[in-house]
Amino acid sequence: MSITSKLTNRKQYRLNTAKTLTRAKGSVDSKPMAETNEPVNMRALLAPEVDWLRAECRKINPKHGDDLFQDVVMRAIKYQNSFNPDQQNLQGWLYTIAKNQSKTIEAKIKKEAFRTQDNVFKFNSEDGDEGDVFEHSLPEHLWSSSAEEIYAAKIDDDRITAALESLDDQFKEVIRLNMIEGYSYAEISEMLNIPTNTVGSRISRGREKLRELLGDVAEDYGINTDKKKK
Amino acid sequence: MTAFDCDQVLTKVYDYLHGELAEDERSGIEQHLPECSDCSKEYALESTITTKIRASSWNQVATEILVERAFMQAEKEE
Repeated sequence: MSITSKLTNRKQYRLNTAKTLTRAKGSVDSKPMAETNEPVNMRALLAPEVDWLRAECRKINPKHGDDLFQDVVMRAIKYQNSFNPDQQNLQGWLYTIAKNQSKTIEAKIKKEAFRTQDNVFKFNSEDGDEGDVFEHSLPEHLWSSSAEEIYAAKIDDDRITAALESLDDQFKEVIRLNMIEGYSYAEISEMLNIPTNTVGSRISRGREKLRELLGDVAEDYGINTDKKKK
Repeated sequence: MTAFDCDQVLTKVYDYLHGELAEDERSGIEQHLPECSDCSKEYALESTITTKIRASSWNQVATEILVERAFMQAEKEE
């Protein structure tokens, strides 16, 4: 499965993931080793290694480290019976999977066709690498990569992170769930037990606050910041 | 297709960016943007902010969530 497809498919797992997370964590922590018929309980073996593995995946593939981490965990579970704890070192086994899977990911990304739907297109990233696929809702004829790069450069990571952290918790929470975790408004509504409209209004209010904090960038866009945005 | 004026477009720009609009509304916004310089500027800025948020160090999904997603993927493929 390609990274792009996997990213798309993640959405169907999100709600179930949120609901089952507590149960799953419990199962990982409670059974350290296989007890009877199962030769390996990979979930239990992985539990103390996940932070190390995620860090290694990010070193191996800085650009797609978390996708790689997820792939490695998935493959470790899928092929758990090929791991022999008496003869193999788990970290070494996982590292080998990560190295191999990273090559697979890179090969797949290179083969990714330019997706021509009106909201997704490919362009050369700031560091000149080819193959990055950016989701961008603006129709291509409206989009200027040069303007995007100039303005984007002005909002550096420290600044956007500080702005996000300064938001009220109720706005931060929904923005994180929607824009980072990828939950839809309806899913967030269910998770937080609030109306979907409330989710939308909190996200809008949070984003409007961000706009205020980034007012000088708005002026760069030729936007009159004195005019109150509806 | 729903026809939108500037106020309506600006009200819905976040929902549009977050993929929350129905096709009819989405088409209405995409019809409006090329025709309106002011809304296009607003859209460009909000799109940039969206990109920056998603690429920021704030985007640190908890390891346990990634692990659970992987578990579910493995179960699906079994």
